[in-house]
Amino acid sequence: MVRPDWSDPVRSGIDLLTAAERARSISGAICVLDGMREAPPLAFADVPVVRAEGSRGAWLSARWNVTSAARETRAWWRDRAGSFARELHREWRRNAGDDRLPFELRQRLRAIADASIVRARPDIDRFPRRLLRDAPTVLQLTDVAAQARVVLTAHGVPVDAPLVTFESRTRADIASAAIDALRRDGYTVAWIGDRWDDWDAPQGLVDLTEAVERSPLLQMFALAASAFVVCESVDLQQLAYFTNTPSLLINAKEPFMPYPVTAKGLYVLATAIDLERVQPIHIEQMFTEPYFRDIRKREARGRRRGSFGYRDNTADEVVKGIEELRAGVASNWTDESESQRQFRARVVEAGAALAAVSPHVVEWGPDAGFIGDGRLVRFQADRLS
Amino acid sequence: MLHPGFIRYYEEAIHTLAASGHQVNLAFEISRDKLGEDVTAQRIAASSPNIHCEPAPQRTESVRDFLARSDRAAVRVADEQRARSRQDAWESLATTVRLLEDYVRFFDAEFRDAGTLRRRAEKRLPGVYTDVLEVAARPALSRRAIRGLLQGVETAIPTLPAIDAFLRERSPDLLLVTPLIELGSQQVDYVKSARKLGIRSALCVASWDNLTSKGLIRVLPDHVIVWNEAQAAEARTLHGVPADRITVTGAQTFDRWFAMRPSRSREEFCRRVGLDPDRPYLLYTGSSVFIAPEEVPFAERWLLALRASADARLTQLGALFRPHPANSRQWHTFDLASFPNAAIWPPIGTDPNSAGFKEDFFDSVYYSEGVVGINTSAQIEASILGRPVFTVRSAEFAHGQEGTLHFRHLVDERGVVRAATSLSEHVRQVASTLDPSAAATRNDDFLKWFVRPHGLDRPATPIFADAVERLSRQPRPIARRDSLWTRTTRPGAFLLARAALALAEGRPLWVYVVRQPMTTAMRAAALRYEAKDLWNENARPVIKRSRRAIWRAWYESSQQLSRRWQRSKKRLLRLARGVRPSIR
Repeated sequence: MVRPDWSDPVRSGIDLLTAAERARSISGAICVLDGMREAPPLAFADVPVVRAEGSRGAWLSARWNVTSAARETRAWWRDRAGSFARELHREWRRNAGDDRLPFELRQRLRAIADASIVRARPDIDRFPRRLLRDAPTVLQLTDVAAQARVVLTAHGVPVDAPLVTFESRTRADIASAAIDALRRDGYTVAWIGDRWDDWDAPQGLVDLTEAVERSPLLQMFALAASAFVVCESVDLQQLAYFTNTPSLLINAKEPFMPYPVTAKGLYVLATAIDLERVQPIHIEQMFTEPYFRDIRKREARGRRRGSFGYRDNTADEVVKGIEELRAGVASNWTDESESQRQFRARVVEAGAALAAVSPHVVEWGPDAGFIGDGRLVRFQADRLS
Repeated sequence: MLHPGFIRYYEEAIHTLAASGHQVNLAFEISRDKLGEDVTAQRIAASSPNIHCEPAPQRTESVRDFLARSDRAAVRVADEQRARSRQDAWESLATTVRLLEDYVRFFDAEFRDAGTLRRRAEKRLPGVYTDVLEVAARPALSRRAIRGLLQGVETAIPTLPAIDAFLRERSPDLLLVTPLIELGSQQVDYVKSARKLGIRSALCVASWDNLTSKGLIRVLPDHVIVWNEAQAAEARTLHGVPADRITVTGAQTFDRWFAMRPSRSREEFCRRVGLDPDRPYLLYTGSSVFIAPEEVPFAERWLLALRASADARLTQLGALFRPHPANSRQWHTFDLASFPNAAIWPPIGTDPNSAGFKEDFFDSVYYSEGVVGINTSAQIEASILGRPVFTVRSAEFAHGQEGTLHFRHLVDERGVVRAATSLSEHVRQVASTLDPSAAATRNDDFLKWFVRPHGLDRPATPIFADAVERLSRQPRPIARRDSLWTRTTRPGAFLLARAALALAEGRPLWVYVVRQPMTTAMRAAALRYEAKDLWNENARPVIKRSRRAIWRAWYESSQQLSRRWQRSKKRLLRLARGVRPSIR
């Protein structure tokens, strides 16, 4: 049973894929409980879908609600227990620091404290890269392209020319350069996601930023109808896996989280600057523990900057990325270079090494040795090799 | 002074007082070298034999310091035992009470848009207090009751003997305190000690945001010296200072801006900073980290908007960026290479005490066509030189613009800053000031109101120095001893002090419940180990020695017996041998 929440299409997609895998393992079917009305009809490659209606539907819905509540309670309890164990750890450590206690006892208290903190570690939900790799073949959003055209036409998007979805909060001159390049090649460009308040949309751009806020599903329809997407947000890149849309992610801050899962994905790393030493860092430095510790610290303290700052990709880099994406689409993604393969191997290797020390890498790093079939843009991979 | 960084607000005034023969003793609560403040202190001390710099009496770790520590878990029981001295408990209570008062003030109607200021105050307090106050401090009546209670507790907190001794030893004619209004400030203890010892005290309000964006004046000094009527009104309405205690002197910190002249020619300056000397430029002044934590993307957008303008005069304008000295690190990410005729000056990380720093800043403003900033005192300085001053209201800086009360001084009807609601409006505003017909004129009304209320031709420093001299000549106030009621309530307050010290850790309440049994259990466990040690060190050797002695005694006796037996046996054998022949 699964109830997709289309206000978060990526989460829903992962739930559906998980359900499909489970159904396949028990040779069963998937029962999709009431989703939103405008959601696209779902089909799975080798798992039948059943609809629950009438009294049976009500019964299953009730069961779903109870199970969800139980799951939430379990999560709450785990969280509380973790918090309790952390506090207890601090108390053990506090006593272990009392130099009036005998040395042997303090050693023992330290060992107890270390054992208790192991229990306090939160469960990290690993990003299911292997599951998502098969998303386009397993989860089929039937008629989504047709439905997307209808929805986009209603929002004033011309669908006669090939469409490209663009999403970024990068500088206006960089975005304009990329959009101009796309428009010169005959694409209609639709801008979605967040944007600066004082941003003036370039001529000929379809601005869906306001509309998207009203309907998250529109993002999915925009992607489904697009030839490809150029984005800065990892959420949008992940959504593109479900709609089988080629993607280029720009201004990536680190190598793991934005690594594309499917072969139809590319990403460009932003220029990271060490604010202490005042110099751009080498990509290899992004594979070190202090780098991820800084990211974690920033996330925990809600700051955007730590020891490293970022300079957005230049217009030239973005345009080069778009050209490589188009070449990839044209060659059916058979044009991977040796340096790109090497970079993938490096990410997997670094992911395995960093998993022991970085929760961020555990969450976003390789999934049982698989980081993704996508690649880093060639010009950056060549620079690294 | 909280730290030597505050010297810069009063440097000229201190020199003036020292030159008039006064002994000026500067005591610093904390040392700081982030922006070369320690060098400033050394420099001013070396400038006159009448100026002395010294550290204020050392304080034990207060709640505030504790909360500022990155690793609060690193509390050792031994440290904690040490910290549980009587004095430390009082200090903790004092800081807690002051932080609570500061937090509660941000629930007042004046601060309804100042959510970030409230959150900043909230961060300093352990969660156990904020959970309660979040609800309790909302109704005005309840807020008033809480404030009354906190002020009552503040009265019951005794003065610190170390500070009493420090003031008694120096016996100043006047105690000046600045800034006093830091969140949870420990400087309040100086005002309390001065009251007790009969020393006249005054608060010097250091900057234009001090009375609105920080804490309260919790214990009123005898006098409050402010810049202008706006601050006087804030002191009266927000801090409850009686009007007769307020002295308006003007903003002495800006005096040098009226007198300074450029240190070099425009061409020389432009070449030095890397701008085209043939073109006019705008100066972008960076704001503090609280106001603009992420300023670079905005600065880039701002410059792009100018360069994208249809007006050729704007596209050719140079841009000089001056990062805020305490918020300059982020500017390393600014991509200067993609913007021709743009520069950052002074270079990021330049020591504000370095030679020519002030002159550089003056020249930057003096030669600019206008000054842009989010919310910074550089905008006031630019207005003194008659440069047009601009700001752009942006959602990302709402907390530092609309969310602060002092920003209104800049942009309201008496203000000097032209505020735009979007970059396009801002670009139009800048274009209008470039018209030859719109020659830049100084906004004298603003300066008369905000910077020099005693007249534009009257520098504030001598007025400030006169005010200080006048106050110091007044007779000493009567020493105010603790009332009977205060002394009676003190034992109860001490229990609160102990609780404040414990709660400062910000741990869940159950931790405090289990802590004592846990400590007792540790002691019991320690007894076992100690008993084992005692056994190993004392009883065990005795037993060992006894066992050995017994064994030795047994062994020796058994050996002796054995030998005797052998001897007897031999004797018997000999006897038997002697008998046999006779038988034969």
